[in-house]
Amino acid sequence: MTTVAEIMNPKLLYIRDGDCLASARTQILRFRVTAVPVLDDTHRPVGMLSLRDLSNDDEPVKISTPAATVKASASVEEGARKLAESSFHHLVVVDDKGVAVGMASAVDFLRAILGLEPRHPAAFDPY
Amino acid sequence: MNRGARKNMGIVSERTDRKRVRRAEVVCGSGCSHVALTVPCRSLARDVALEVCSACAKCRAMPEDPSIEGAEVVCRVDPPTSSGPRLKDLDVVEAALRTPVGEVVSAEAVALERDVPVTVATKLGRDRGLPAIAVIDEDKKPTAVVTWSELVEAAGTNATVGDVGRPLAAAYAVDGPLLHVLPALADGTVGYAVVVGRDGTFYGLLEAADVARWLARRAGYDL
Repeated sequence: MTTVAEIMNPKLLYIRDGDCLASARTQILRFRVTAVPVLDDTHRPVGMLSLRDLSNDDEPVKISTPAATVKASASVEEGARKLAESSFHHLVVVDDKGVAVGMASAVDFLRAILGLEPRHPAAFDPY
Repeated sequence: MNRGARKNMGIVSERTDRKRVRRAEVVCGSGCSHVALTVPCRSLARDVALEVCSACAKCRAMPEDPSIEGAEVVCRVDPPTSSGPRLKDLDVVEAALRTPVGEVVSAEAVALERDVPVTVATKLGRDRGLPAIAVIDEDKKPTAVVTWSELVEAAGTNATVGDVGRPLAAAYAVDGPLLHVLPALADGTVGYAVVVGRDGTFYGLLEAADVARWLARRAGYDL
């Protein structure tokens, strides 16, 4: 059984709860991702911030809560189900204590089920 | 039972199939909007208007309000002519080869004419939760796709979706095998594939998430 831990991107680009959300826009565009998780002080996900959330100039930026998560130990099929049930295109991968350890996208699940190797950006610069 | 069925002819001991009502919307630059509701018909191998579906002898139930999200029709399915393997028993590649793209693509399609302002597209995408939106020409053929990256970068300008959309690199036939689309989606460069009908007009955007949903159903999850 392939697990989510084997297909996720362990390099986590995130923002901290309380960070300036507007400044996150630059980073999201820079790294060409569509969403980042928002983590609390204990590195647990509290929400997601997507380009869609940042697109409304008429209202203050609000994060989408709660974050859609999946356990790193879950099977790929279980992860695909969770993703399909959510309104997101990414899941925040958490360990047994709920601490964020990576991100898994619809493409990651697709590649896994087709038997393709995971493919992720080489690295994110420090943020 | 399907949501909001208004007629059920009560025939039992027959195989039936549920088909999601497709909602295709085209938005023009002046703000007008045209919505077409259709059903993918397996017998005719094309989408048909609800009136055609309702008049078909195989129709078993029609939704009370076909415009609501998740509305379905129920139709009789002819018994299989051969005892071939069931999709769920096939490996994923074989199943993807036998599954038409049209069975997996989202039932809601939204397309924009190229003179639609970015501000209108942004509001539409936000209200509908769309990950990307197709841009079409006067013949309703797709020419580009706008994603949130383009919409956010062009925020506050007078640009139109025709100005900022990414030119279309490839399009896939709605009745072609899902397998042909998977390499493009799995590549990860873009999270969607543009799907067109037999006449080349825009049909929908197939997202990696649509395929994840299909895979999860094959694995036995009831979604």
